[in-house]
Amino acid sequence: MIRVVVDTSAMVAAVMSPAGPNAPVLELIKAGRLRPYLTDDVLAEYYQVFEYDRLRHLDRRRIARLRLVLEVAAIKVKSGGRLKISGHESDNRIYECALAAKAHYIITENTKHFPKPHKYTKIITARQLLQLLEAGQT
Amino acid sequence: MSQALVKLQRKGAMVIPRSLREAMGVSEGSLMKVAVVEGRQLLVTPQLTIDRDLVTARPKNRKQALLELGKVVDEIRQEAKEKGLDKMSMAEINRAVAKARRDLKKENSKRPVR
Repeated sequence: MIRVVVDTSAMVAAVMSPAGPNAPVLELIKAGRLRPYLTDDVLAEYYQVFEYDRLRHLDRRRIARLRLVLEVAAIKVKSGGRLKISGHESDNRIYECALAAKAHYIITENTKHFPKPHKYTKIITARQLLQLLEAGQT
Repeated sequence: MSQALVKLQRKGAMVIPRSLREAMGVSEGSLMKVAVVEGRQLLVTPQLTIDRDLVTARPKNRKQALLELGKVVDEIRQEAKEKGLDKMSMAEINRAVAKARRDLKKENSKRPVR
């Protein structure tokens, strides 16, 4: 099982549209090929994004349900402490989750915000991950 | 920012113009929270009442959660398509994430330090 932490932008893009490059990530999670990991910080961020003006037009019951379902579908871990790897402070929460989960990958569209791999974790876009899976190289 | 000048009527009733109601996605019967902001502005925020079980019933296990994840994501995608949100650019999603992070930071800074 491939352990992943999905960056918030990639998760929101995957939830919102079946057409983008991030959508297959959710399909792989549903199929049990990827195991997503969360910390409280990451989950709070996923949820808070839907408070954005345009996204508030979505039915709040569905968003609340999404949060609850994600919380059970993913494996929740506790951050072992603050890291300072990314210059974007909030992206360090993703690194912290990945470290606690011993994740194989952080899936993100903003690879510049994640300047380097950390311990067991590589930085990858959804598209790159799909290519690796198709090539059987994971 | 959309705005309108409206007259306060008997017992504090006021009519929100249709253009604003449509922009906010509210209609007759919508529940609204009214708050005084900075002592001189009224902030009107649409609310939803939710069947508690619908939101708080936790899936029994991971397998069930994965099944439900597919369902709820399909529903959100359908709704997003109907409301034109499925075409949101990655740049706008990144702006939404940046705002969420600012809001969370603000919220966390208000928490008392133990």
